[in-house]
Amino acid sequence: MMRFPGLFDHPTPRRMSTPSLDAENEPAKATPIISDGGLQAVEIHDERTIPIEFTGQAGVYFRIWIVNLCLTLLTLGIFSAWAKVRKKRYFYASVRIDDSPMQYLAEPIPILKGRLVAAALLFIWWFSSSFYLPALPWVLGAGLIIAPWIVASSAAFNARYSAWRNLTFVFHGNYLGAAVTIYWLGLIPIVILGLMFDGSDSGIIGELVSALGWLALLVILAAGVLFPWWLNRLKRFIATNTSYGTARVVYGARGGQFFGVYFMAGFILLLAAILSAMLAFFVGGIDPDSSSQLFLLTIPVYLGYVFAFAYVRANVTNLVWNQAHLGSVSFLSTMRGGELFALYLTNALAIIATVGLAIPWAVMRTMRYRVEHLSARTDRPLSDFIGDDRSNVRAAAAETGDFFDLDLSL
Amino acid sequence: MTVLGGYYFDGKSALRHPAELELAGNEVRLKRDAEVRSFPSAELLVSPRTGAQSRLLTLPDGGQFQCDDADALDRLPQVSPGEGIVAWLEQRWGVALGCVVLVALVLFAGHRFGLPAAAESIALRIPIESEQNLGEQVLDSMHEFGWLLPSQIDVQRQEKIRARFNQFRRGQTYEAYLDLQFRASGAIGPNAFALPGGTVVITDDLVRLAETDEEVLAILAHEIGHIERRHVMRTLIQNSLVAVAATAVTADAATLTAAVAGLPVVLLQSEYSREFEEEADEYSFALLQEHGISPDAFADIMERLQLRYPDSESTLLNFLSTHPQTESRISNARRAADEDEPTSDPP
Repeated sequence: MMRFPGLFDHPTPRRMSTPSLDAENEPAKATPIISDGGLQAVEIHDERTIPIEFTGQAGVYFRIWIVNLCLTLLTLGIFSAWAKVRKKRYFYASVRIDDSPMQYLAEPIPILKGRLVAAALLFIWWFSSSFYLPALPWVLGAGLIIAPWIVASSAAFNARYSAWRNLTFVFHGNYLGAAVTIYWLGLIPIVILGLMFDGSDSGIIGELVSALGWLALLVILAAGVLFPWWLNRLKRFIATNTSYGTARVVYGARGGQFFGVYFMAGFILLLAAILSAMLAFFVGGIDPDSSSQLFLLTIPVYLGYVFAFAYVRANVTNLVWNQAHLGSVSFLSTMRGGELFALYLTNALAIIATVGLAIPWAVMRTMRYRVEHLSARTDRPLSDFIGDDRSNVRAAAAETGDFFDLDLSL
Repeated sequence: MTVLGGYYFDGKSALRHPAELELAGNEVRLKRDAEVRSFPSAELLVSPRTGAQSRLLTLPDGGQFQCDDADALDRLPQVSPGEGIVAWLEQRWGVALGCVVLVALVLFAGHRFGLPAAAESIALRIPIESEQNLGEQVLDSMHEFGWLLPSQIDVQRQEKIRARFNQFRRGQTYEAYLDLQFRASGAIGPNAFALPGGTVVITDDLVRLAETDEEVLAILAHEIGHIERRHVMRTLIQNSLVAVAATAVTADAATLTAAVAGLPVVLLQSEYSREFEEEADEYSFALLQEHGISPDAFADIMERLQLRYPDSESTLLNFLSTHPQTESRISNARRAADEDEPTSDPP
């Protein structure tokens, strides 16, 4: 029901003055235009904010975390599927949108299956990379074939088992769509094929192959520059194929905007490197044998890296949310790189100082920051969001048990 | 009878409807405005308890009811009945404290005993042939990079050492795979190493540093120890398991801890590699004594190595505690030699 795909088209206030969301308010607040004619004009509303709160608590999550970690260790990892479910349920339930919690519906068994499959794939990769390097390109080649399936099936799994107010999300993307997205311009396949045939050097095939090797090198260089556009395509693929009930996500961010963010991040890294070099200069000659001096010099580079990472995180998140709509709902994400950097830094210090015991606290405050810097607005009642056969919680539960219903997102 | 206040979601739209749920024996009644509907309570499904958050009941009509957590909900059918115990554990600070102690104990014991024992038993089940391909690749690439060159040691000396190496080989588990190679070193100085698959390489610089053949043999016995105890495979397995365990422990803070978690992993892994060195040393002392050579030979060449090439081990990677380790390895060798004093007769 996306009668108003974007709020930006409707900045002017509506006639009805009181915001409304709940059914209990609806008849009272949406004053009928024609009072007794059987027509109820509940369609026009003021723009209003949908409150998004975070109710997770570090103390509560600490207990969940330690109990599940303990059980995971005692069962040699088998319990980790249950642990993941328990933790995700708490994360989801801690996000309350319009006073209703998000709900994570996945069951542990599909997650356990997914983990076993992932472990088998990782083992194959580990084995060939440690004992049989000539096989590695072929393993990567096989990885090329299954990667789009992993992308599409984990997005579908996440969507299907995420619900709010008894409506689940649905992912509509498939293998082909994922393959076209991630192998855009054939960038990744050329690199892998170049690796696969590198080393054989005889006759025409050798010539061809070495040409392909050079092409691969060029492609690696190009991929570095084109990465923001590639990432934008991936985000667009995931977003536009996701619907809540029957409402599809509308995605507006562009690759150039991603490039801007990554360009700034590169600039931050460069500044950090220059700072480190200046420090070396002012300190005077560096004794290359002194590991403590070398260690000191890496500090600005390290901080620069964390800052660039936080900058990218904050700005890419803002970019994606701020230009996306779900039906009539638009979003505003106001994260800042500097704030996130301070958060990461204090988290790291706390985690080191407590030998890891501060991890739950760090997780909760990072989530709180993210949620509290996200807001949603709409000028339509939430009755606009309607479900179909696939998007009911009970329907989602019925799908559990399918063999290919597994979670590959570690 | 228990009455729960909350909201009803019909599963058709995202609206919420204020409603009440009455739990009365085998029946639940949903009251919404004037409408009242009854369901058998056995057909309800209650979402698991998560912290102190709201819980959701799925009704037979496809609707859902959101309410605050209440004890009465635990008596209804659960989505995931087994999780009730876990939820019970999660609510108690005493349990959490016990878990902290238990996790610390499990991690310590796993790192000290469990992991090395598991890695050893797995490694011994993997045939050494599986390493040979890797060993050849390593040797090839060392030649390619110019790190190893053909040996300049005269053939007679080579043959003399090889003959005694062959005596050492006899009766070893991997006798058929043990192979000695002499190489001049382009870049790695006085060195010896055991390659995956059973090949032992010793550089000319190290052979020349030795004042007696017994010193060369002491080094070779140490390398045989690495091969006999399957250190390559065990290192690979142990390091992979440490990385997996570290990921499991820090999983949900992955982005937060990635930068921090790397260091402890490297520290743990370097501790394992020190232990393997000690294990190979002990193996070599026993093997030397078996062939009537005093472990003093090992101490002598290690001391000379440290004296002539003080920088050889002080690279950034090893800066943590290699030097004290070399000294303790030398004193271990002296101690082994002293215990053996009456029978040993160093030439």
